[in-house]
Amino acid sequence: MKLSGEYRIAAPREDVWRALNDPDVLRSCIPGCEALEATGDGEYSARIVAAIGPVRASFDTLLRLEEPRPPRAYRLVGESKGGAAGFARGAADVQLDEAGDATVLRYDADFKVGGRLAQVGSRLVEGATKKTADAFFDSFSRSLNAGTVQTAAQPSAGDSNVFRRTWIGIAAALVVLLLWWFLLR
Amino acid sequence: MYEFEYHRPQTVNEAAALLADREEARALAGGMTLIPTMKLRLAQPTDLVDLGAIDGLDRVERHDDVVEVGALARHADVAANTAMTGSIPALARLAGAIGDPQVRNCGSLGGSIANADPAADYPAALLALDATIVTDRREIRADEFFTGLFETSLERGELIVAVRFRTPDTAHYVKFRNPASGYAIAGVFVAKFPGQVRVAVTGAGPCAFRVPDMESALQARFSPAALNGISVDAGNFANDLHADAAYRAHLVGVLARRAVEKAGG
Repeated sequence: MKLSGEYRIAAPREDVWRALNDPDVLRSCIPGCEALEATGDGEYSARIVAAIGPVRASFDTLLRLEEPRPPRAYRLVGESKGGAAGFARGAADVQLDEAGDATVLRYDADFKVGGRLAQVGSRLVEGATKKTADAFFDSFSRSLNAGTVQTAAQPSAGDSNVFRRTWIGIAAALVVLLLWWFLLR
Repeated sequence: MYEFEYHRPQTVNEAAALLADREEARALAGGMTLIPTMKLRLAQPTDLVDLGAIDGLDRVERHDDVVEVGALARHADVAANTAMTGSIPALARLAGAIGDPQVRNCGSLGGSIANADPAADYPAALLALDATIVTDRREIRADEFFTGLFETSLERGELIVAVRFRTPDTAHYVKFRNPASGYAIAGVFVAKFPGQVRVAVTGAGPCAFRVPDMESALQARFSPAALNGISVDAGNFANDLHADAAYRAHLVGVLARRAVEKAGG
């Protein structure tokens, strides 16, 4: 199953980059995100409660970041388990492009889904995904404009820790999009 | 089976108190969405508050030019009720074509609109018939009720008590029905009031919505031909395995013309 999308964020790429360095911003912007932490070198775990309409399910997600090309692109590999609800695994390519004063984030994902998730909700995939993505980027843009991220450290090419945290951020945003897709496919 | 607490309150206030006290409590009306979701473990509430024992929530009554339907009125009851068939036959027919006989005998008006499924039939009727949603704490205009995909302006724990529908001069609902689920791939409800025409669409976008361009054209001339050349923006329409957005947009035009024709235009 393939999924792709594009978001325009009204901020320069450096600011977006910096905001994505801030786990607090991300945790507060990702709908339903309860936890987000590093579990190893380039590996992260997230716990996200997905609630839409009648559905409310909790997902434990493991993520691995591959082929980082800061600050422009990377590949995200992940696996998400929702207990009895089912599971999903797959990968996504993400790209950040400058567009004047704004930044355009693009993603292309390819995933497999199993369990009950795969049996229900096909008619709701796109709407639910879009809704969750919109909610994230709305909150995220507002955080940027509110100056929440202005205090964050400047990223530099030599600071791998900053880059790593950035990957967590972008990854977390993607996880939310993809979770919906898993859940309602 | 996993464990949950089952409550069967006798009054609306009791039900509201139960919902307010418990974080993961869900109100249970007809259960046509919630129960299958629980069976799939896609929802696991700690408490179910069954509204079925509350007196008076399933009545259908006519007061002058308004028909008031209780939140727990079953679709089959709305379809067969003489107060309804006599004043708003289009709404009775809509209720009689929801889902299948099992769904119509269990599913309720309040449950359907609180769930706000993007393909449910009732939301189009509420918008086109300028309905008022009566809850345990206030009244909400239908125009302010449906806010997004499975989203309404209901607050946490707020319970729908009844819905008041305005009786139109004439009205009709046409849906392009998914043959398996009975859900609307697209559905259009047209209602003509003195000096006003209202057109509402369900099944196409994230939630039901009105089409002002069609309404003003029909206000000038209530005829299917008045809708020629008017298209709807498919920008946020659903793309799924049943139909793509452009197809749904096309359907909306076709169904609107048919609804006007059947309504006597």
